Amino acid sequence: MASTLKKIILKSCDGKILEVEEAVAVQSQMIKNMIEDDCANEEIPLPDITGEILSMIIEYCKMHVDGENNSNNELIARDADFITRVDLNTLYYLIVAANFLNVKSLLDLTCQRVADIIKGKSPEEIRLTFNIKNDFTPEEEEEIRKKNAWAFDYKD
Amino acid sequence: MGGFTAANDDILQNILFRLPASSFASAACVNKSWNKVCETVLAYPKFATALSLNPSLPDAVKEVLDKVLSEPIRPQFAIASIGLQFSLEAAHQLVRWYMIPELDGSVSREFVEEFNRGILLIIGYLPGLKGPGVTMVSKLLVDIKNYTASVSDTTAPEAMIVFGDQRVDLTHVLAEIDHDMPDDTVIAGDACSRFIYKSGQNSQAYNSDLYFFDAVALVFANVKNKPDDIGEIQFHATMSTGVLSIGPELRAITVASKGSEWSWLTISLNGSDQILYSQRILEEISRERENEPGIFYIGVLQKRPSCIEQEKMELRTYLVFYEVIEANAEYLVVEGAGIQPGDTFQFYHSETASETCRITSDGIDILNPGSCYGYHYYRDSAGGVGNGGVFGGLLFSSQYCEETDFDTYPVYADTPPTPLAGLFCAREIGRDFDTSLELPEEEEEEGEGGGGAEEEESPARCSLHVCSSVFLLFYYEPPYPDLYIN
Repeated sequence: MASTLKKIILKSCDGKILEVEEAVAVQSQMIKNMIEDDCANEEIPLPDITGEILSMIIEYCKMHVDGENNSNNELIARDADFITRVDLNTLYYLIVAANFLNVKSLLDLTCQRVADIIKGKSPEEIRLTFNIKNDFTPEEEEEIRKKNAWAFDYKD
Repeated sequence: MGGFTAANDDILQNILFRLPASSFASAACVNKSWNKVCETVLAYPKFATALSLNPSLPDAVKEVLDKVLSEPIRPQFAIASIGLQFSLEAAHQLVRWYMIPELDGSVSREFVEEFNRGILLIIGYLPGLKGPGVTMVSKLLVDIKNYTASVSDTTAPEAMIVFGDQRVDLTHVLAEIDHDMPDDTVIAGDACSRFIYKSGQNSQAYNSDLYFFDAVALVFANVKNKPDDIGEIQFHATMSTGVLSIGPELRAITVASKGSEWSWLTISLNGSDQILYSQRILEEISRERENEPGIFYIGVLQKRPSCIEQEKMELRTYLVFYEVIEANAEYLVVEGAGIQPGDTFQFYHSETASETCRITSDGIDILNPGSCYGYHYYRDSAGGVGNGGVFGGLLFSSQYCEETDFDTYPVYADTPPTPLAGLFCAREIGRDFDTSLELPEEEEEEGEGGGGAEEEESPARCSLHVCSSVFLLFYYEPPYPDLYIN
């Protein structure tokens, strides 16, 4: 059908313009809604997403549209390959973008990846990994650690 | 430079919700914003169960723990039920080794012969309720009330799960609890098991881990000054009685007993003094049941003074079941003691398994589409939607049913995403308000002719059952969703 070849034009916050097939673009629930509301005929500006991130997301969506006929395992393997290539900083922006564009499967994949990175780490290790500052007072920290103390003996 | 410091709460919640329980606990200690998100997730109650049939105890324990702790939870209580091939002490040590020290209470118990493999672990987290407090034996009721009063604004808890040791007769204690507690306090459990109990609150030295108790009650009470953003947890119970009364109303004329093991009765029809041949009565009744296999019991109406000192004058009437061992020309022999001359009773026969074990959702308001609770089930808070609903269930079912194929489908089908666990029991504990004395319809005439008047003046209650199934459901009612309406 003709409509599947229709192109959607996306514009990143750093001015990069990307033309995407509609079938790929509708992986984003947000864009899908816009198309349904007939608001996607002109370029769609994406204020918080850089060209680099946007390309990655489109790569991901393409992979899923092209891979529709592949086995589930193959898709999972590709997902894993895609996500392990991503560094932490990029991962964060991918999550923000996937959240904004509402690409459910990518949001799941990226959030799960972060969860996997956190898994098995102590609070100190988590802070170090994500460069997070400890803003508890010593008293607060002691109380919170006490509440969660049961878990520190248990390693999953 | 990770941007995760700036991650908004929705994203952070989406990530943290995927963590297993112990990593989730680590995440809660990272900083204030992570802690806040973790506490949001923990505003919802949670219930998790796992079963392992691994023949190695350490492996089995590890498997069930990994399963129940695979999602965020801050375990408040744990019940581990183990097969006979495992040592109760060793299993308890292992589970506790992983779970100390913050647990309020943990119970390990054995289940019975035919189902003697594996380990079942149940853990729960119930925000807004103060978890398992506990208590023993003759002081059970007093302890329950004191404990409840210490954490809550009342002396009546929302619910309690009671385990009794097989050496101890809980009949009178349970009758007293049943009499004292308001009807909406839900009680369930097994009165005839072997268990070890340990509370995190009184753990001093690790070596003194093992205590044997006569009875233990996991008491759930609403905490004082519960925060507004925490919803309400409700307990609902329903039961199927596993025995049907059969034959005429009878009376014990003489009673002899040997210790607490057996009792020998001579019996007559109620209202007559002529001693009957027990054997013949039992044969007649068997014929009436068309010689269906099953166990015979007698259900004895016992009118006894309260066992609480200051209420000595008050009489309590309750129904107590005794298993029939033998009926010979002279005596009816039953297991257990406590029957007095003059007590009236009826024979009961265990129904066939299909009847007994079928728990229908009829008894549970919250499962009825038309009830005020609606027909919705608990969803994870991952999506940020805190729908209320059923979030867990415990089934206490008699081991005496011949078939192991329990028909819990109606319950299971009605609550698809909900963790449910079942424990086989020797004597099920459950409060039964309506059915304890209701004679089946075909018996009605005899019932009226017999002790009808007496029943009216003091309805007998029964909280210790045989061949029954007691189903306990945990229901969550979220806080009022729109706080902006005044």
